[in-house]
Amino acid sequence: MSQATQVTARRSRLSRSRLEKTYWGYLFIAPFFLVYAIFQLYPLGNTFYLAFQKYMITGTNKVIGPNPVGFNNFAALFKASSGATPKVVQVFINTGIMWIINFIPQMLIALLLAKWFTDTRFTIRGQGAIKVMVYMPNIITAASISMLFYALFAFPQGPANSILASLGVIDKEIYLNSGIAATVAFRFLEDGWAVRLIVAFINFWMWYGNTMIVLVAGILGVNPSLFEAAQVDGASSNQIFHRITIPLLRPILLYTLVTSLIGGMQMYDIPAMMQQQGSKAKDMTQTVTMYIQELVFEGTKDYGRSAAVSVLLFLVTAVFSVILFYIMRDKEASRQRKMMRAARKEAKL
Amino acid sequence: MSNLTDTAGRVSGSYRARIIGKKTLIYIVCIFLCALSLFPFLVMFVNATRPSADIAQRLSLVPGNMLATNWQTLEERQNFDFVRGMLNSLLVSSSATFLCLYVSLMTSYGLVVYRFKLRQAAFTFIMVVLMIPSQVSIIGFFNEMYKMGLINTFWPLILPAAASPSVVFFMRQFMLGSLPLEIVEAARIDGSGEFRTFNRIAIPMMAPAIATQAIFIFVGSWNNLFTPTMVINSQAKFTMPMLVSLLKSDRFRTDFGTVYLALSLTVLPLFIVYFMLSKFIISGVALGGVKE
Amino acid sequence: MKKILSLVLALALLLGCASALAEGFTTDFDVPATGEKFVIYAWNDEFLGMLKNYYIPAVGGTVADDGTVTFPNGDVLEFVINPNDNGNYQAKLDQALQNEQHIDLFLMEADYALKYVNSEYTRPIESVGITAEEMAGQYEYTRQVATDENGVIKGSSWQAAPGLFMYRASLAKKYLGVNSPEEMQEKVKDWDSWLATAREVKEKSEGATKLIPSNGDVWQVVRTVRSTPWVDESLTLKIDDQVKWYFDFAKTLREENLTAEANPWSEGWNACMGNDSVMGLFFSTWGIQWTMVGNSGGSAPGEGTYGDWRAVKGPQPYYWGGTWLAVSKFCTNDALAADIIRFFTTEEDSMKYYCLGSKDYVNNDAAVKSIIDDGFSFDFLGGQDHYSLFREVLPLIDVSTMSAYDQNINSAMDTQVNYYIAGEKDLDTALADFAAAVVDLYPEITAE
Repeated sequence: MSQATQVTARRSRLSRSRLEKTYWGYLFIAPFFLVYAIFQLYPLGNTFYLAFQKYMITGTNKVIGPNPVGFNNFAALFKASSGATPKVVQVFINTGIMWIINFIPQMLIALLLAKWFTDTRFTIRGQGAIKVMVYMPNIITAASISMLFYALFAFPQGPANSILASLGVIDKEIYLNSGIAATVAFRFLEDGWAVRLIVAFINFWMWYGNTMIVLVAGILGVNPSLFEAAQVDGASSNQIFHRITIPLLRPILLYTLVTSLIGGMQMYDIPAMMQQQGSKAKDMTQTVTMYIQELVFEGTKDYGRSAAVSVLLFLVTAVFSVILFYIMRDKEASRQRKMMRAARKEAKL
Repeated sequence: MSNLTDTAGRVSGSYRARIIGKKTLIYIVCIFLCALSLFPFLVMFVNATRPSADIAQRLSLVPGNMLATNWQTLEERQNFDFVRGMLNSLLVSSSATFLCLYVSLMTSYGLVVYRFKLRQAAFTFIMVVLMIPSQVSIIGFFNEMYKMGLINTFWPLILPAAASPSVVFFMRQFMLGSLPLEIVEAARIDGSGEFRTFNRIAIPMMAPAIATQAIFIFVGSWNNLFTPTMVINSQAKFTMPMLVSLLKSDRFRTDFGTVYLALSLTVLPLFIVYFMLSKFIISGVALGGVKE
Repeated sequence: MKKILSLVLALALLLGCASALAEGFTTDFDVPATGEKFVIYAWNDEFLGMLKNYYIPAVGGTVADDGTVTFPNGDVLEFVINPNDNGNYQAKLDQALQNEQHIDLFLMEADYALKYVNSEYTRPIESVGITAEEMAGQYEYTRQVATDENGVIKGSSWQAAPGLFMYRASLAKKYLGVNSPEEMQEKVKDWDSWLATAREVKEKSEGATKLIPSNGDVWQVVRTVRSTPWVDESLTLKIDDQVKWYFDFAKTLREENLTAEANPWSEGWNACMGNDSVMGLFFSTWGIQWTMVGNSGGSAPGEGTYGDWRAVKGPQPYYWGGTWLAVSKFCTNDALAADIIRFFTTEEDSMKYYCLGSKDYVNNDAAVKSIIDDGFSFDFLGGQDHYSLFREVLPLIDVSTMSAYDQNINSAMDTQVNYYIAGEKDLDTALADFAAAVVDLYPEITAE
């Protein structure tokens, strides 16, 4: 049988069998939807319902509601004393800023490492060990990390301040006299921007290894024959990276972007742990989910407003994700087509 | 491949010098990053060997001699059943990981391999729910668990893992790139059943994706403090992070050496799982299956 | 790949089969062989230790090797601990109560005791058969705290928590030339003298030693002597002059660098008690024998700072903390609940026995007095009898400013104090932002 007839025969069987097998598709996806319906859909519906109710348990344990109040919870959230930014807006700004200053360097470093590790011109020795190590910050709990960073940025004479002193940023002579060091040392954990940077750094440092591994797995998942073909054609490693790796990596990049965005919007552990008692940095570092928690765990349990913030968080995340999808959608489709063509070409060989 | 490099190297000496320069740069950067990564572990392990008062006063990388004392303090804590906590955590995390991986693979396989009416709708739905933060529904989740009588059991820590939109998304994206439908079709022609094809052909081809996701899921589940704290009441069912937070809960007198020792112990199983699976990441190059 | 899967699977199965863990999938706790379970909610294991080490040996129950506590009537203790991070203890307790879970007794702290006392989830102590006469031996203020809006007592405390000012004798001699607690009291008898002393310590030690770890420690005292509670009957936030005075006092402490800037309960704060960076500390009964001894770096005179501390009354009488036992609405064993409450909070003999063992200052004046009469001294305080000082402070304690909202409002105030003392906000702005934060926490409260 010639190759052409073989392929045609296969195609016709393919479409026929697919028709027969569609119910298998439902079978395969059923467990996910079943579990989702039970464990997530009901609580989620409950959240959307509560966002439009006045429902709270006051500081003296008196239950009010639930009574439908329309958009009152949202209105209450956006009501602020004259001139001040409403707290709900501030927590979104905080979250966004801390996500961006963590994500950009994280992506750049991860891409760079992924490029180095998959470069065909040279092999990095001990690659395995390096990969293993850069991922390691991810497996440590937020609690230990926060304890460590508290120690690093201790006031007045923690390691971070010592570095500032040896660099001459703060007066070394005064600093070294422990009695008056407090007059020059920097209060890192009391400073909004300092804590933002610390939180962003911790997130960056915990996740770049993870992102790198995902990217490397993605690159390795690309059909190796494409690289070989490009090499035979004399492409340089930079060309290969930009022309073949990056475009083929799009689905994985999209995955990384979207999950990082969603994870970032849900940032909780690290900023929550970095709040020193009574620190004024909190106003600049409280995240959306911390606020959601605060509304139901501290003071009056205001389920209505808490649910309203949750709905806002969902909407904001959705808008950003849709934008990301839109930017990357066409390219993804064309990539898929390319992949299919390549695979078919491969199959014919 | 190496032949090509060698040839190019012989052609131009400056090219080789560039490569060496670049490699040096790469090694320096990598060594720096590795040191940065190992630092907190070092501090944690070192602090586990130091007396509490000392830890509170300064950061140090020199081990102390209090490991035995800290261990004894930990042993004597009436509520710190280390072995039990470890087993609880292992049970919860490994079950959740396995369930999450298997169901996510099934779902993504269903979405990639089969063409059915609601396919696109199902995928869109998964993408939408991916954007919903888990904290959003925690109150409702908690009340539902009460109604279902699942409070103070492991079920709420394990079962919901089966519906992880982000893992499904990852698996689908990965499958699109590395599971040619022709292979599935070939298996069908050979008379392999649908489920058998999935188990015997699709899953092995997804090895690198499974290994990476397994680590993420296991670590996430292991380190989760929030949900277990909400759901578990009985001391006998406490997970490791809960036991550690119990140690810290004594805010009126915190023994930092003991806390660091407990934290160090908590991370050990993660090391084991991580090093076990990391082999698959590193050697996952061969990625069988794509070439027919 | 198969290896991973089979490994994970094997692990899960192995663990799943382990009979010890099988119960993880059922709601039941360690099912008692005989009798019912008796459920107590708490945020740490302190009370569990008290039951195991004092109550059970005295009444004849058993503590098994695995820690299971069985009461004499065969009931089995289920001690539920929910660590108190970020309001977690109250959150879990509230959820359990709202879902009508079986809880017999639960513990409350002073900061939020009124929240439960004024709710339907607590039963009058009288309802388990403990009469007002039985509770008469308790210190007045501990009963006030647990009294609801209708004058019904709904909680009972095993400890009283009057506060004192502790100082390091060796440092006081070195920098202030002070040789006795009486001389020291003269140096800190009111806030003006106290501030002057703080300046003197800093100057003489060239900054190496401060009188106090942080301004937060001063607040622990000042908060109890305000003229009104944070929130009045009409749910309006009240900021009295004492609060404004504290804002300025804290600012003075910061500007003149008079504290070690170690916030309460931080690592540095704990460390202060074991080194020479701080000379003094405000603390109440439990804080001395529990926190200070633990942080002194020793367990006998001469080791660390152990034995170098002395106690004086300080500028103002105050209280700090305390734990109350409450009977839950869903209590099913009144007799056992009553017996435990009596043992720790109303009976002189058992309370004396507990006091001698634990050094905890018990909530029974007769018991304390008989201990003092037998001759009491505490080597941590250089052999001082600080119980006598506590007894002098106790009648002066005023809990009229306590409210159900204290914990969260105090912490909201802390933040604004920090803005003010850093010079980033003026007093009016700081107070306005404080009021706004309180309203955000408690929408039912209106700012003045």
